Amino acid sequence: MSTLLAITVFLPLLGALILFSTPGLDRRTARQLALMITLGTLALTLILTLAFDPARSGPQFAAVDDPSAPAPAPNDSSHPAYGYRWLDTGPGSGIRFALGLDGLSLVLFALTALLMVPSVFASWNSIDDRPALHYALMLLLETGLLGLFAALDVILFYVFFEFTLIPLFFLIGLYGGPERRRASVTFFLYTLAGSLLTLLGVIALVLVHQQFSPNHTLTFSIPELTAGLRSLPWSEWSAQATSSWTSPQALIFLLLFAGFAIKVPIFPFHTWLPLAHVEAPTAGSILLAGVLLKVGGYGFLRFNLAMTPHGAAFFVPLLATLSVLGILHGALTALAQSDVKRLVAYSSVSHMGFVTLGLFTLSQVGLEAATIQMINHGLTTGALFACIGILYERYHTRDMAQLGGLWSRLPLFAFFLILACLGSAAVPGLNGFVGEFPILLAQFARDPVYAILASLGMILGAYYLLMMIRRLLFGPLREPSDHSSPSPNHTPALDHHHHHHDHQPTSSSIPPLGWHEIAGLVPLMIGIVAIGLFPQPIFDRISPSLREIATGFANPSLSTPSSTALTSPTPPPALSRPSTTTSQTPSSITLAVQDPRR
Amino acid sequence: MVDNAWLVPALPLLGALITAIFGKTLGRHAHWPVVLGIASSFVVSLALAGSLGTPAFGHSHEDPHPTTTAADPHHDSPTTTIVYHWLRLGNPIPQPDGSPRPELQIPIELRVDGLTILMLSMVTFVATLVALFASGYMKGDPAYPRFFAEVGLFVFCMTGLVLSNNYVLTYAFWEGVGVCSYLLIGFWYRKPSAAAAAQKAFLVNRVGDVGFALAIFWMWAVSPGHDLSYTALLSPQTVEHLQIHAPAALVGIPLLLFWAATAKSAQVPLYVWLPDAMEGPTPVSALIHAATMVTAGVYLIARSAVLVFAEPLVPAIIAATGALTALLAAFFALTQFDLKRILAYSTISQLGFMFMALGCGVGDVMTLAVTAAMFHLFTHAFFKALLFLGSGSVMHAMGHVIDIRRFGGLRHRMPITAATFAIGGLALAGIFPLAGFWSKDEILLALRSAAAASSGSYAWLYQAIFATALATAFLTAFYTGRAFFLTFCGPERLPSPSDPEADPEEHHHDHSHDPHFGHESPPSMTMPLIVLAASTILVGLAFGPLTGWFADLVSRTPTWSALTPPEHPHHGFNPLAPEVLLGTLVGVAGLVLAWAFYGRPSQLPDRLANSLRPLHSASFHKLWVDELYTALFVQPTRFLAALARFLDVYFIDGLVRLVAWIPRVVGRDLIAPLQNGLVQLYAALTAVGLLALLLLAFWPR
Repeated sequence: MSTLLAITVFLPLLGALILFSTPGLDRRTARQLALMITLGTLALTLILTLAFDPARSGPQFAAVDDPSAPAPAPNDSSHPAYGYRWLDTGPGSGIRFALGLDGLSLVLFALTALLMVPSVFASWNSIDDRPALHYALMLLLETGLLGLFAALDVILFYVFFEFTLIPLFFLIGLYGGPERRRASVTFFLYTLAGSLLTLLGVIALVLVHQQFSPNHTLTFSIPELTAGLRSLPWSEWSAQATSSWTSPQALIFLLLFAGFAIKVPIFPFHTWLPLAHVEAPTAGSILLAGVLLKVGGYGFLRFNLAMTPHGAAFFVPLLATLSVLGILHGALTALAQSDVKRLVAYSSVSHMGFVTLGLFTLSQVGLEAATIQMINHGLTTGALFACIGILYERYHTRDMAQLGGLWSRLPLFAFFLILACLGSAAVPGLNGFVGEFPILLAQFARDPVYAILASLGMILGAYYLLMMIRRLLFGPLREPSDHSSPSPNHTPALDHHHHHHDHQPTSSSIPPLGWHEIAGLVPLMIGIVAIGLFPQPIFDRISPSLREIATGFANPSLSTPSSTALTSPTPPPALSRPSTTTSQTPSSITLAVQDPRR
Repeated sequence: MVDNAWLVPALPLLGALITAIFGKTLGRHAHWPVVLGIASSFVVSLALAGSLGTPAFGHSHEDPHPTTTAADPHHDSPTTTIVYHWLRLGNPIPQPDGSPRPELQIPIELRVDGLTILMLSMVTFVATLVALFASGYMKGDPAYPRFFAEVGLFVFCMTGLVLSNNYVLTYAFWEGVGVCSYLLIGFWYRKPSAAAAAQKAFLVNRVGDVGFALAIFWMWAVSPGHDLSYTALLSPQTVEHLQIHAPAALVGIPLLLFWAATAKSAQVPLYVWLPDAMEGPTPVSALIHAATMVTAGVYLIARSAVLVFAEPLVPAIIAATGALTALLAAFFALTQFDLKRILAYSTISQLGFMFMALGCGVGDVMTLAVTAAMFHLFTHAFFKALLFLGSGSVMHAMGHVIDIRRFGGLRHRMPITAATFAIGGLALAGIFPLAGFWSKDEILLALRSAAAASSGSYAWLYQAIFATALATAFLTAFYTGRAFFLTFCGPERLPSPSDPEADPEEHHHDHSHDPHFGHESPPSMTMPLIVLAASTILVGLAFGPLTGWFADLVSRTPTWSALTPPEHPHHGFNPLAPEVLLGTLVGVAGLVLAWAFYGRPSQLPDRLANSLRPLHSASFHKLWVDELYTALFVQPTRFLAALARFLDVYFIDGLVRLVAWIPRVVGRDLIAPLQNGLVQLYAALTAVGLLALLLLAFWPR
């Protein structure tokens, strides 16, 4: 199965290489090739999802370098050396090319593969210029995202993390709207600036682990680092009541935070997002909102919460405040937009505020709900951007002041848009509810004030979404005049007709939804309804991996891990780690004087 | 039998799906799947009532303690069934029986007890009739199938709401009925007024829903074992636990639930959406905005009675709010000219009566309070649906004109509509022996008992509410009479076909064969009217205090087992009781006065309106509440939105651009001038750097 995972990750890359090497390919062939690769990747992902064992925690489908090593016992949370040696760093397992999926990565991996389908369909007719390059960049982005979620090595993760910037930079910069250059450069520099700090944080984690772990192992493996840092015998590190922001965990937390906070984006680091969204082509918007923002949430879970739990606990009041501010600010700003794409972009800020609010409850309920909220946001926002793409292709405007009453023109479109909006507004029975409601519930149990303020976002969220529906779909039909009436000399035959607005001269020039538009939206709609009614399969898969993370908070005193066994089905890492005989007094060690390679 | 309870919501849903998918093929018959689905769901509801079993109806008349059945949990053990597990998340928490359950566990669990059966049979019965009526009323509408699909979806949500056995599932369906209401109010989406009304209804209800959600969060935080099921939460043990560990929650949670109820059941301060909701098709107004959905708030409070009545402050607030709402809405109804809006304000007012009754939950009046409230909910559903369908029949005949100044004297042209409307109106006015008489009488009795059972300022409060209720009953009879006389009596007047009110936008109906207005509606519409009129005459007599059947049915509700039983159980009917006499007196007086004003053309109303100009104006403009809310809430929100947008672009993004600007300036003005090509400068700098490094390396420590 490990081979299958690698094939899944790199199949889009293969497609991208083919498309890169045939730049003159016509639109029809290019999009069909891209669709085939995308569907193939989705099918392989489906196989992986079905083969995934939800009862197990820890990564699955991971190659193990040394086949002679005994398979880990089910209760053993020590991790073998996954994957293959990639860069040698002296003793230890080195930087490895290691791929694997646990429940958390699996759902985001599957979301990526799924959202590629509407992305390809959204580009179906809208991309005329250099289509091969466009699809090649999309497939390149897919490999980057799949690899990022599957990476089990911090350096590999970081490579994929930065790698995703490049195709998106070109997608926006080459295929975007009038301000595409400014948008792509802003997007690139802003996220790069943050992620360089994150790289520092990651390196700091590796070094801290090497310095203070009993064996001084230099490891880049994410599972090993997580387990090792959790039980690090360094009192400065493990001090449960991190009292100042200058403590090591808090500082490293801030470094890691920088990149992920910009990716999510957490208020007030969000201003690149509306610009990038408005300028990006539809496929870029779907992937940007649907998956790329989730990279931030995923990073928080994998690094900030799993590896620096005390740092996270220290900053919770600040982070929850920023999340609430993001929810309210995003919703209010969305309310003031008349460009419908900008509206949805700001709604992303608001909805991702709910995600981070759930993450920073630091509770199992909050983490599970935040994770499923990431999936939900991917589906609903992907659907909304696809809908906006459909509109833009027909009317070449996204200004709600110029559009209205489209229900009578595009009834199926109206159905899709209303369903996506209701899902986004967290109406029970649809997907948004199963994320938003438990997030607020967990937050209320932690501190009611934040939950009460955030619940105002529920009202504002419904307000801007319904306002969008009302302006776009309700009322008498209104279409941009330059586009919809090619004959300014109004047909006199229509003047005496009572229902003249029902008989626009252009009723034939606005086509109903094409098969590719329906095919792009239907999977998302199925997801919106299915998750709303039956979210449990997802919760079952993510809860073991999240429980490993949440145990870091459930029991703050890491020195007595036995009490976590009550709440955790798997013993905490500290119990099962091979303990060395002579563990040094951690306080006597400083980074400067200790040679790790004794 | 209880295991089949899922059929009740499932059958209308199935009908809705069939209609939604095959609607175009079915064409004019698109209503049948939904009508049959709801009707069979009514049959299942009755069968479920049979499974409640022992003591048969009529038994309690001789039973000296009719509520003891409720106090004995073993007698009517809660009968619940789990369809599937919806949400299970969080860490497992150990249970006494050893099997751990997750922190947040929400099953799709249905409960069948007296209260549920009552709501189910009422909802499915009225919905069947309304759907039949709509098959005539909506004939010719291009979106005929969509209408019935949405109605079927609504009945699914509404039956689910009353069947649910936990607060989260109730909340889910609570929002579900709100969505259906939104879709149906905005059914004629081309009308800007309908679009605005739909959005307003959803948003105002969302404001209430947030209260409901916060109540659930609070319950989850304080309840033992994080259990949100009715079985666990509405038990005496939980109330005791909360009284010791979280006394604030026993005030906060019920008030938050009541906040939610004020939105869904249109009470002060969140009633403002309901009059506008009349933009929807009239069958929708009858079903959703009169008989069923708007009573969900009353149901929720009645269901949670054990928590709501724990602190006397809470029922007092509920009763006072109900009284204020009832009086205000009746006052607004006096001067409106839109027949449907008169009925809408009347609905708000009658819902106020139900909350007045619920607010009587003090001391040993508790069981009477919930019984009276639910009885009024039950009777009101029949006569208010009847009145709305009657107004729909009028509207249908008048080419969608609904302004009562534009027509009149219709009793000859529309005899069935006139007769059935009169029966509904008399019931609303509380005239013996129609349905409304019995339930209004119970509410007045409950109010007097509550005043007797309380002391100090609470006793005064309940006395004042009793007086308010009498005054409202008078106004109710008056505006009902006014609406009836203006519509059906006096000289015959019809709107002209070119009436500007007869909006051609709405003309989806095939009036093409019928250029003249004013024919009696087809049998598909009059039959439901006749059935509802018959029910209005009978339900009060059959279920009311004469037989005690209703009290017996609702007493089989185990979640009420912790309510204080009455010391002196009240049963039977005393025609000479003061509240009966007073209630009838004000009702008759209101009708007589209405006849004097509007029975025939007269100058009286205008003269009175002129002499009471400010009062008339306040009523006509509904105390300017809509304008007030716009100024207080809508405008500030819009201002904040504009401010947020401004800050986002100029402040937050401005800071980002400032940060990005620094490296550019540093590079251009500081670093770039150094790269001037003068080798001497480079050499000097190199030397300085070397010196610095050497110093650093060999500096004595």
